[in-house]
Amino acid sequence: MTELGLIHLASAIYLSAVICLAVSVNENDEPMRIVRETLRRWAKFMGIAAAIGVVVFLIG
Amino acid sequence: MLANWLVPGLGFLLLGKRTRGLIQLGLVGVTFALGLLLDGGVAWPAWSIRQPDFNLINNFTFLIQLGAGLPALVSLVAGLKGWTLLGGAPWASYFELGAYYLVVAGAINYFAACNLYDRHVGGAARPGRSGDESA
Repeated sequence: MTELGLIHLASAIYLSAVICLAVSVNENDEPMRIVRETLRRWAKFMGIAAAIGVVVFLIG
Repeated sequence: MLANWLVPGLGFLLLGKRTRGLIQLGLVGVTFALGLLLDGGVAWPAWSIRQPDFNLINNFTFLIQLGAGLPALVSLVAGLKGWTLLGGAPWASYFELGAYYLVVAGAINYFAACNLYDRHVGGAARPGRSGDESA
């Protein structure tokens, strides 16, 4: 895998985590709830991204 | 809200919500800094449909990037002056990715400004809008 691909992959992981954290911080007040909702959203995000990746890999 | 847009998290800090303000500042600041490290920058787009390089996506991208406030304005001015360190390098291979980081930073700050309004001015701050309708 090239450096460009790795940086894009790391960016997808980082940016999705940041977006999930920002939304969770805006919606909640309790720290534990913020952590739980961030992880739940991020896992969903990653799961969907992985599913799209598999579909694109199979089609390509 | 204006203070919170200009300096991410400042609105919450001024209202005494220190943790929330610092988290917003950290999220927007780190994401924006990573965007600059990847040679990204806020570029002034073509606004007239008659211009050959007009692209509506660039215009929307610019508006969302401006959501980051003062850092975005600094990057815009640096870009117009040709300072690649803060203004970005459109010829660099990571420019598009860096610009995307700036879009995310701007969007997060817009979310934060809307959240500040909702919590302290309208929405949830208004009597009878706390979710407890029976009270």
